Amino acid sequence: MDFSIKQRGEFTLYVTASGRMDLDSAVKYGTSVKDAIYDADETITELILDFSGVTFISSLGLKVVLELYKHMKEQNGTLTIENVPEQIKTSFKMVGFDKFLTF
Amino acid sequence: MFKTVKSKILAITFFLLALLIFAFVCYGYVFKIKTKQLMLKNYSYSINVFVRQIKEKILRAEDNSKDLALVGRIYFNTGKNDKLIKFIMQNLFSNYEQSLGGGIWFEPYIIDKSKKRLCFYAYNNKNNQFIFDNSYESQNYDYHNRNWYKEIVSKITENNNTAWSSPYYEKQGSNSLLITVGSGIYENHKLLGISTVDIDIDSIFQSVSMMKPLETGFALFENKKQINGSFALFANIDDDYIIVSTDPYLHNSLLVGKSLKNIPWYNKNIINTTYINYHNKKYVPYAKNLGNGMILIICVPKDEMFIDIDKFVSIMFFILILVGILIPTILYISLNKNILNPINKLINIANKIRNGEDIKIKINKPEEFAKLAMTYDEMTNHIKKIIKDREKINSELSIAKSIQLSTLPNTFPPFPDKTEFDIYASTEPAKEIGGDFYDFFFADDKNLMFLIADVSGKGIPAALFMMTVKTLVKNLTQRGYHSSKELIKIINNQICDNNKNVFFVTMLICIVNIENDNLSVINCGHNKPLIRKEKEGYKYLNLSSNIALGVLENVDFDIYETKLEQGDILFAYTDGITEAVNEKEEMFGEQRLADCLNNIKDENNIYNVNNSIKQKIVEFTKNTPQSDDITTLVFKYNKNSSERIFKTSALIENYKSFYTWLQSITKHWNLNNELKNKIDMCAEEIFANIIFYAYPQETGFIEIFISKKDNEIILRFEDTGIPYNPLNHTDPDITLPPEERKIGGLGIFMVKQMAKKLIYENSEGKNKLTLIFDY
Repeated sequence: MDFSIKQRGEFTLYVTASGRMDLDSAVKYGTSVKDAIYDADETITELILDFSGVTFISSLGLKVVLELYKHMKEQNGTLTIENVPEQIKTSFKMVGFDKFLTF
Repeated sequence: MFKTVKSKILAITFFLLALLIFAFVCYGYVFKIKTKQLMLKNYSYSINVFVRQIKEKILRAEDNSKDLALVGRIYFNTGKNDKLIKFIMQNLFSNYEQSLGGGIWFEPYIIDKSKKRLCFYAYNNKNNQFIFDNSYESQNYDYHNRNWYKEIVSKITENNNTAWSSPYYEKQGSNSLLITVGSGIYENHKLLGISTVDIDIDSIFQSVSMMKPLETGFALFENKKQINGSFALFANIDDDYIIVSTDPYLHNSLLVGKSLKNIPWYNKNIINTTYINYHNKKYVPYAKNLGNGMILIICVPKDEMFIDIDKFVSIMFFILILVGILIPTILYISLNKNILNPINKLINIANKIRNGEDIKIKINKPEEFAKLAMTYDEMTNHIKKIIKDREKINSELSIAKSIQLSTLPNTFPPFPDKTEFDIYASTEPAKEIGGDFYDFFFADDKNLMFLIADVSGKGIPAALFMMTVKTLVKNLTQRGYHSSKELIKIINNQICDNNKNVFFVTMLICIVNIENDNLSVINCGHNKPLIRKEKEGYKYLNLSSNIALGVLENVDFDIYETKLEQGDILFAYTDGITEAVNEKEEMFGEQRLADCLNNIKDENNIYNVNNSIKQKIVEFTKNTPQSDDITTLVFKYNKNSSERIFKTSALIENYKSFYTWLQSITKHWNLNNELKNKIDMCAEEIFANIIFYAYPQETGFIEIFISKKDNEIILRFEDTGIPYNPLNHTDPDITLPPEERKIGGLGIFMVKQMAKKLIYENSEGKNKLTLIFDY
C-alpha cells in the first residue's frame, strides 16, 4: 500500500492511503503516522485519515486504526476518517468502530 | 619416560658419564693394585738392599775380627813385637770404617807370665784415626771378667771361630750401645786370646737412615725417630736375644739383650708371615736372616705403606664425582639457556598466535633459533595472509552458493493461477558448491517444461557450467517451442559448443501439455523417474536412456510419450538420493526409494511426498556426512481438480506471495467482491496468527489448502507449531467505548463473524483450522 503524510496548518496531520492495509503494510502505516505526530513542532490535535484509495483492511489494519484513535485521545485530539469505501465501512461496523469513529 | 629433548640429552650424558666413571674406576682400581704391587716390590727391594748392607757390615766386622786374630797369632809367634803389631793393627783399622774400635785380648799370663792382662785396643776417634788405649789393661776394667769377653770365649771354637756378644753399653770409651764380634787366637788348638771388633748398633741404623729408596717411601729412621710408623727388630735368634728394637709400643732400651719372648708380635715363622696384627694395625714384616744367627725384621704398617696411593686414588675419585656433577649441571644450564628457553618461547608465542594475538616473534640468540624464529614469523604472516584470502574466498563461495540456489525457483506454487498441476522441487546442496539443479517454466502458453539435472564435477567450475546450462535451456526453449525432438537437439549442440572444459550434464526433461494431457519425457543419461498412477502406486518409468548432454554433437534423442491422468504424480531426483550412503556403506538405492514412496501416507500432498523422502534419507544416512547434492522434484497433475495448495515458511515477508496466490484463485473462480474480501480478511488473520504465535523458536511451515466444492469454499490452514485452538478465544465486547477496549482479539472475532463454519482439529502433530464460506 502507498500512503503520504502531510501537515495542514500547525495542529493538523493529513494522511492519504491507497491499496491494502494488511499484515504487509498496516504496521508500517501505523508507525509512520505515529512518528509524524511525534516529529511535529506543535502538538497535533487533529488527525485526518483519507481512506479513499484503500481497497482492503484486515484486522491488523483495524488494530492500527484503534491504536491511532487511542493515541489522539490521550493528546486531547480527534481522529477523523474521510472517504471510506463501502467495503471498509462494513468491516468497521462489524467490529463496532462506528460507535466512536466518524467517517 | 624420555619424551623431551632435555631428558634425552641428560640421560645420554648421564650414561656417557657413567661409562666414563666406570672406566676411570676400573683404571683407578687396576692402577691402585699395580701401583701397590710395584710399591711392594720397591719396598722389598729397598729392604733387601738395606739388609744386604747390614749383612755386609756384619760380615766385614767378622772378617775384621778374624784378621785381628791372625795378627794376634803373628804377635805370639814372632817375638812379641809391640811396635809391629800396633803398626799392622793401625793399617788394618784404616779399612774398618764401620767399627767403633777393636782389639786383641790375650788370656791371662799367656804372653808374659808376669802380666795377667795384655791387650791392644784402639778406637775410632770419629776422625777415622785409631787411637790405642792402654787403659783397658787396668785392674779396674779387668776385661777377663767383662760379659762380652766371657760370652765370646764361651761361644767360639776353633772350627767356628766367630761369635757375637749381646749388646752392651760401654761406659769407657765410646759410651754407646755396642755389639762385639770376636774370633779366637788359636795356637796348637790352644786358645791364646781373642780379637774383637765393636760395632755401634745405632750407627747401623743410622747408616740405614741415610738410605732413602723413595722420596717419601722407605726410610726407617730420621733423626733417630721412626717415621711412617715402621719399626725394626734386630736380634740373634740362635742365642735368643734382642740386639735392637724400635718397637714404638715397648721400652726398647730395657729389651736389649733380653729374650725374643718379650716381643709380642714375634714368632719363629716370621719369615713366611705376610701380615701381623699389632695394636689394631696391620703390619707387613720384612724379615731376613743374616746367616749368622741374626735376623733383621722391619715391620711396615700396611695402611701407611699405601697411604699416598690411597690418598691419590681418593682425590681422583673426588675429582671424578665433582666432574660427574659439574658436567650435567653445566649441560643442564646451557641446555635450558640455549635450547629449551628459545623453544619454550616459541611454544608460548605459537600458543598466543593460535589464540589470535598478533605478535612478532623475536629471538636474538642463539643463531639457529633466531633463524627459526624468523622463519616462524614469516610462516605466521604467510598463514595469516592465506587465512585472510581463504576467508575472503570462503565468504565469496558462500555468496556464490546462495546466488546459485537463489536462481532456482523457490516460491511455491510457482504458477498460482495454474490449477492444472502442482509442482514442488528442492535441493540440499552438499558442503561444496554443487552442480544439481532443477527448473520449470512454460515453453508456451500450454506447454509446461520441468527438468532436473546433475552437472558432472563439483565446485565453482561445475556451478558456473550449471548456470550456463540452466540459462541456455530456458532461453532456447522460450525462444520458440515447436517440437521437443528439435529442441533437445539444439540444446545439446549449444551445450557442446559452450563446453570447453569437457563437462557434461545428465538431465531429465519433461514437457506437459496441459490442454491435451500429453507428457513427453527426454532422459539424457539421468536417473529414471517414478510415476504414480492412483491404483498402481509408484513405478519406475520405463524409458530408454539417451546420452548425457554436452558429450556428442548432432545426436538424436529418444522421446518417451504418454498421457497423464488426473492425480498422477511424477517423482524425479538426482543420484544424491539413490547413492546416499549410510554408516555400513550401503546405498539407499532405487528399490528403497520406490518402497518409501509407496509408504507415504498423505500421498496426494506433494510437499509431504518431497519431505517424507528427504526425511527417509536423513534417517538412513544418520551421521554419515552428505557427499552429493540431493535434489528432488515432485509433479502432480490435477487436470480439473479444484484443490490448490500453498506452502511457505511462517515468515511475514511471505504474506505477499500468499495473498497473490489466494487472489489469483478467487479471481479465477469468479467470486464476488464481498466473498473475496471475507476470504482475504480471514486468511490474513489466520496467516498472521500462525507467523506470530505458532513458532516461538524455530520457524516452521504454513500450508494452505483451498478448494471449491458444491456451494462452499473450503480454506484450510495447517501448521506444526504449538497446539492452539483459536476458537477457544473469548470474544471482545465491541459495545465498549474505545478507551476500554483491548487492542487485540479483534481478528478472531471477525473471522467468526465472516466464516459460515470454523473447524479446529489437532492431528498428526498439526494444527488444522478449516474455514468454510458460502459460495
